[in-house]
Amino acid sequence: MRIMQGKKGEGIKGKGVPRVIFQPETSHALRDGISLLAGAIRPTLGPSSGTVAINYITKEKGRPELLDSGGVIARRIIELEDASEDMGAMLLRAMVCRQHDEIGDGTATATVLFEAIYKAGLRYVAAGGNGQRLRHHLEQLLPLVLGELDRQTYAIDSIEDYARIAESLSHDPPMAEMMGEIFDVIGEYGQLDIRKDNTRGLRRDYVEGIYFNSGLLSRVLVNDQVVKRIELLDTSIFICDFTIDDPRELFPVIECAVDAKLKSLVIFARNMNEAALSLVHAANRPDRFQALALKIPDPNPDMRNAAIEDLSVLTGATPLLKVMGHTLESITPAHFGRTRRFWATAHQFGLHGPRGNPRQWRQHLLRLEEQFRVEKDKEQRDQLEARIGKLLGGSATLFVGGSTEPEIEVRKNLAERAATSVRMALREGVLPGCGLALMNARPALEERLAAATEADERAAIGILLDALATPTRTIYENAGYDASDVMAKMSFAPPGSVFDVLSGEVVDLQDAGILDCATVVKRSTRNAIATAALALTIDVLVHLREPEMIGVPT
Amino acid sequence: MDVAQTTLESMTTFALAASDGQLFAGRAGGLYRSPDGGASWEYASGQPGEEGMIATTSLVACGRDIFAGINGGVLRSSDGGGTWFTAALSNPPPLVVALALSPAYEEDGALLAGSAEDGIFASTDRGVTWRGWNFGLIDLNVNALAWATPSLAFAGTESGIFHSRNGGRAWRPLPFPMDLAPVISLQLSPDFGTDGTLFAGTEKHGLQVSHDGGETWGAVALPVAGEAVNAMANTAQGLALTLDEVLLLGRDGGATWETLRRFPDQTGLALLAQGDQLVLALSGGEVVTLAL
Repeated sequence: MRIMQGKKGEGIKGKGVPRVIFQPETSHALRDGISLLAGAIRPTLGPSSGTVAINYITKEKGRPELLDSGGVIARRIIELEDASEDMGAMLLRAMVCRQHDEIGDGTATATVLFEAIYKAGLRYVAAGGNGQRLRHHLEQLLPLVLGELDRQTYAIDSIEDYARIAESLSHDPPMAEMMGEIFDVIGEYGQLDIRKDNTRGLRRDYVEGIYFNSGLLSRVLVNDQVVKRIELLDTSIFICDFTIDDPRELFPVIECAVDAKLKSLVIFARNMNEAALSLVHAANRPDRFQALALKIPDPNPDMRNAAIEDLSVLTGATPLLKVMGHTLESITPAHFGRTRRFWATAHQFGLHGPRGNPRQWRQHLLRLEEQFRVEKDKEQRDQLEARIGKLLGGSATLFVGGSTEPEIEVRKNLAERAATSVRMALREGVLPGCGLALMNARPALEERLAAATEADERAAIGILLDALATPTRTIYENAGYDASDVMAKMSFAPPGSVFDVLSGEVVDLQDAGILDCATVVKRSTRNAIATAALALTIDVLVHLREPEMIGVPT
Repeated sequence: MDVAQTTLESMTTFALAASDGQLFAGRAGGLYRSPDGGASWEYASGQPGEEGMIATTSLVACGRDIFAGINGGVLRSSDGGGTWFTAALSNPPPLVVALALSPAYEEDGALLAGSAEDGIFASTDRGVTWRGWNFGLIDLNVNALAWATPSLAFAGTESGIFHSRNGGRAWRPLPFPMDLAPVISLQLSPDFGTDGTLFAGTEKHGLQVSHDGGETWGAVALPVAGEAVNAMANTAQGLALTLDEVLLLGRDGGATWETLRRFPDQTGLALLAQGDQLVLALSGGEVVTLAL
């Protein structure tokens, strides 16, 4: 197995002639490759999971990287020695990476489900079953399983629930408690920065107001020389997307502001040259009129337009836009927006009490939330989430400390994943944890089995019945229990009970708060079943070329 | 029906409160008190001659603790109005138009102040220090506050109603129809814990009610047509409210209504229930005490 940090294909040069592999070697090779990668990810499932140590290929004497995320482990394993086994491993790797990219969690669940379905399916096909028909039935059964998961999904709405979700991922009670409080304040879209801290513990801070990452173009007005910051009260805002190279272009803006008897004016532009900035500075009159210039946030055109839109809605300003054919000469007092308090540094600026129309502000947020709900692209979703969070008027910062740098790093990563999980749980609800939600889907499959007559369909149902128990079994095994013993014990437990692998006791699910984020379970189930069903139809492997590594030690 | 009717000159009275046997009136000219149930009034919050300097727009009281919202901060007294201290809230100074005490104020010392342009400020030390608590409050024009349980509070704003489930620490919008806003007064049912009833007085669309803690809303059919519900108060007989120039009393949780009084060319701005009496402040400056 070759492990390295980097993208697959780096350092590989092709040579040789194509090679074609047929059954049964195809299935054996794929199975072995899948087993190898799944074996590396499986130990990370559950609250008592293990970690996987991976050596840096380019850093021979460094400490190994300790990982407990299936997604990251899969990313680190870029190639197996045997080319045919590698194809199986890469099938699983692609699925795991997709799960990791889309959701950020649930990769181990998806892996053990995938492996269980694939191996059982392979046995059925080897015994003479029809792979295509099996795939068809597995895909047909997917909505039934997802429907059962939907049925068990419920919303969470308390600090305790948020903390439980955070703890189910981080296994760090103090962090989970703090995360519960933070999400109770910021909600599903709120801005949360997670930063390393020099202290040993955890602390959090809440910041009121809205801030953007863009700073002053002119620094002459900085009125706090210690922190290099300027603050204006009850100030007016002007927004345009012009690059102002000629100070004469700015005359109408300054003139309009002075005529309107404004006390202060913040001018947002795409950029200004020194001459234009000099005019802004020259317009300042102590105690009568203050002006300063800022760059519109974000160099990316789409995000810049989004920032202009957000700032306009917040402050009630009407922007003058070059793309719309506007000129600065057309400015009127109606173009100015207002905010109760404005601050700026070289790198950031913020608004307190922006005076835009609150109805428009709320409708704007509703529109963005609707866009977020229908948007599929992760990058777009992240950008929308950041915009919505900003517009909610505050942010939280979690400072993560620890005894050593690696501990802080691991804890920070866990905090980030826990935060993602809580957000998803807030949006789409939670399910019984410890794999119980998947186990609870089995009675519906048993009903379907009783009605099914076709052999391939019965096989597909049987495969899923076994596979859906695999995550729970793996969690028990990873915690050091004999899964069969615990499963037998649980068959006599009252409904709504769960085996708590941390305490080793059978507990009430609700009381113990053992929960999983619904999105994570549903997406890992969908990914695993769909990908395994597809993999079962692979009969032939074609190696177009023999891989050869260059420039990397073997 | 009238017990007393006095006139606080011609200055508008925005708020009423009672503490330590005294009646307090927040008015455009400052904070006034009456030791005799409204028969006579004196300037309460400063030295003689300072009248007219500090408009007082909201009042709440619990025991001997009294709080008055002013332009720029909150006046507080912890000895029934004997001495007063001013707490500044932020810069630029906000106009505090609504105050609400935590239902567990005696234990937690918490209160909220709603401002006309700067959102909500909170104090957890009986009004000594304040800080802005506006997370999620995307409408900073607050007109009214109501506090149901130590964790659950409501804010009526220019664009609708927000609620907080963590004692005012963060706010979320309720599905109150935006076209019915602004919401200028809020009143919880005395049995809110069991019936989940919340009344919202609007500026243009009369009285709205929710029986599920604000999740769904409907209009209340009142016996007279009107627009602005400026003030509401729970009395032993039911919910009293001012609808433009009319004073109404709703019984059976607002199922039946009767007109108590009509005040031609005046608007009722503040209400205070005191035992079997109702004190009403009118836009002309009159303070009227009615027996129910």
